Amino acid sequence: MEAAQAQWVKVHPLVVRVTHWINAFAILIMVASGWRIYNASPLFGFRFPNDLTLGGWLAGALQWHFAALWLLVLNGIVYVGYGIFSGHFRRKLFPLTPRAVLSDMLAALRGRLAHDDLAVYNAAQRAAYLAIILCLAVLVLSGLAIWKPVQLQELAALMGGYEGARLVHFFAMALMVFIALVHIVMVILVPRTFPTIITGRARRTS
Amino acid sequence: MKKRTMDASLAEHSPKLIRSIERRLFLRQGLSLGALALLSGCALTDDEGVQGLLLGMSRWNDRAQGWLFNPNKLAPEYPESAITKPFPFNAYYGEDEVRLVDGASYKLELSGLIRDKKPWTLPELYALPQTSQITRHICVEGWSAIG
Repeated sequence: MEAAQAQWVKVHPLVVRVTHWINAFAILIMVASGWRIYNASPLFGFRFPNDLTLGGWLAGALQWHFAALWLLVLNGIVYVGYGIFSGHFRRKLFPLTPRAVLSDMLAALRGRLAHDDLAVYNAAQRAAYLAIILCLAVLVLSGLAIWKPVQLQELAALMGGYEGARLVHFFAMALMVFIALVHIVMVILVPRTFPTIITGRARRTS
Repeated sequence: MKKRTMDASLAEHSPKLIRSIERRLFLRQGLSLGALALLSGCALTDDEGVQGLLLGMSRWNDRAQGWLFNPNKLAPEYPESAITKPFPFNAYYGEDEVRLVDGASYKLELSGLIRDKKPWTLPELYALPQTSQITRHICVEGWSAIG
């Protein structure tokens, strides 16, 4: 028992842990300031509560949004570059089949999803993390199209023009926030995963 | 299963585990402090240090845009049929509060880094070469309209 307790397994590499928290911080700023920007001219029939937003008014929120954008993009480049070139993505996020994702999601809903080895992501996690990465890529591209709809009019045209890019930006945000909330709920349900994204290690449970 | 391992290790008072729990608590408190600071986003933005940082980033963005983008690229033009009707009215006063300007006494005053600061009258402005184009007007608020 003593010997087993001393066994630690490496779960998250340092690059992943650092970029995860920088990303979380950047996303918090981007979402909170983005909601304030949305409130200046809502796309739909609702506004975000001002208490949940950042910036105080439209111009302040735009300053936050365009400042944190650098943090988000540079950090994202480091993470995606590391993920591709170190083989981290290939090892951790693949293989991924729709059938496995579906069965793991159903298992998660019934509270029966196994996550014994914290170093191995189950299919639901793989799909969620991949979806967040894709959402962020779409958010950056649609955000660029909204920011510079004349300079980047070809990019905007891919999304149906400026108004289309606004819709893409909104729905990518909504999906990303939803997945992030599910992610946080899962961490609360399986709290032993939380220290691993800080220390990088987990006790082997066998 | 998970619960039992947790309780068992707690009962053994492993100093390492306790340290990691303390660290976790510290982090949680840190996170909620951060969240609190963000909740009062207005006060945070008013802070002088934060204001300086945001202004600095804003200036940096202006420079980055200067390097990245082509100043000669023009906005796409639209046919007359694409014009948004009615075109949104947007001002700090209501549409019924629009003030009438006396065209005869109207003068456009100029200032800034220019040599000739002589004000322009309406007839002088009309005498200038004219061109028109139909483009999408994109407001900083987010809405857009063609006109």
